[in-house]
Amino acid sequence: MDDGPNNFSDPQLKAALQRLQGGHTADDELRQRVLGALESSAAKSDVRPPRKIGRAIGWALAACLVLGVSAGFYVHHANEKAEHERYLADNLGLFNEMVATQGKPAAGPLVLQVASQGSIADLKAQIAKEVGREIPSPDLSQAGWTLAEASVIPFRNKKAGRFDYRNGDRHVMLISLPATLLYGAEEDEDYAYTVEGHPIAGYVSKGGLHCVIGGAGESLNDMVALRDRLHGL
Amino acid sequence: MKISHDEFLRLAMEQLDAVDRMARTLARNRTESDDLVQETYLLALKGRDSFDLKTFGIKPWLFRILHNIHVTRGRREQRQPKAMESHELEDASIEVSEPLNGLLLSDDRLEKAMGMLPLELRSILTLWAVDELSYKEIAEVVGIPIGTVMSRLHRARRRISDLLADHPAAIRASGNS
Repeated sequence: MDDGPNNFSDPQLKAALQRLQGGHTADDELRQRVLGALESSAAKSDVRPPRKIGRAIGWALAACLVLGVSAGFYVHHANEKAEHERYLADNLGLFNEMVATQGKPAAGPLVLQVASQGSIADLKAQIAKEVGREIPSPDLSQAGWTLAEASVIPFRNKKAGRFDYRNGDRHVMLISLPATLLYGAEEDEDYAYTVEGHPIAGYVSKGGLHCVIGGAGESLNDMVALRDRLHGL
Repeated sequence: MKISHDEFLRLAMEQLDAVDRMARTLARNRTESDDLVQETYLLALKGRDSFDLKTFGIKPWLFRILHNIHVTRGRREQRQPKAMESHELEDASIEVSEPLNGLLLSDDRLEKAMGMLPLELRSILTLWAVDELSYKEIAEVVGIPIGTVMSRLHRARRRISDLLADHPAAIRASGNS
């Protein structure tokens, strides 16, 4: 017999309690009630599982879908943002040169004053021939921009097509370059950035990089709209 | 070791007498104890998949469910504040009790004394004496540390001893607890 707090032994008490309570038997009424409840519950379970499981699976799938879509959007957004920033960093030098070009008058082997030339289609043909690649139809008149000058200029030792547009005092320039100048260029890819306060929106098509550059203070959205118009979107 | 539905029913129903006895120990009346028993078995059936016969015998498992239902009901009714007693305080108050060797344990007097014990002492005493659960099993059933099981057993025996000796102070204390 051990009375220590880490053990407990009292055979006499145990025997007395067993004698007092040990012979207890649940009556039949309770036994039948419990069995009935269990059978009823089991029967319901037999019917319900598909619905319950289906519902649980449905909820799980819905939750997974929501989480997946949310995570997908987040990852996509994060990736897109990172990609956007990387693209700008990779091509910042190029964009800066474009902006600088936009601020200077055209000077090069071929400068065509539109007023003295034929149709815009003819101008396009002349410039395309000179640079040796396709260029977009440089007609932005529907957007309120008048083509003032078309030229072929040197750009990083390449021939670039340049189109200057006027809308009152406002000025935008379309420059068409070999796509190889753009780091990471892919067919039909487009981009839009503001560099040194100048909005730039361009796209890649058929080996050419075609970029609309607005004066400082022009909106990026307007440049995007002009770019898409040139792209035929 | 997972068991089949039929095997589970067989094993569980074999314990009905013990579960009913424990339910009557915990409940205030027959209606309440019957409800406790039924709810215990229904919950056990629902939780059958999580039951592992090897790690926890079916009787302690059923008792634990029964105890949990009872505590939940008690909390809901806010009539079991003593069930929330601090284990640390209880452990610190372990007192060694004397065996009941010298007392005449007539069933009537013992039954009366048991009826006067606080519920948390009465149930643990029953789990130990009648159901012969180990301290570890009792601790798992009631959800308290083993040290608290020991201290409650000692307290229960001391109360029983006092009650059987017709100790007025002990009777008052039991009636107030």
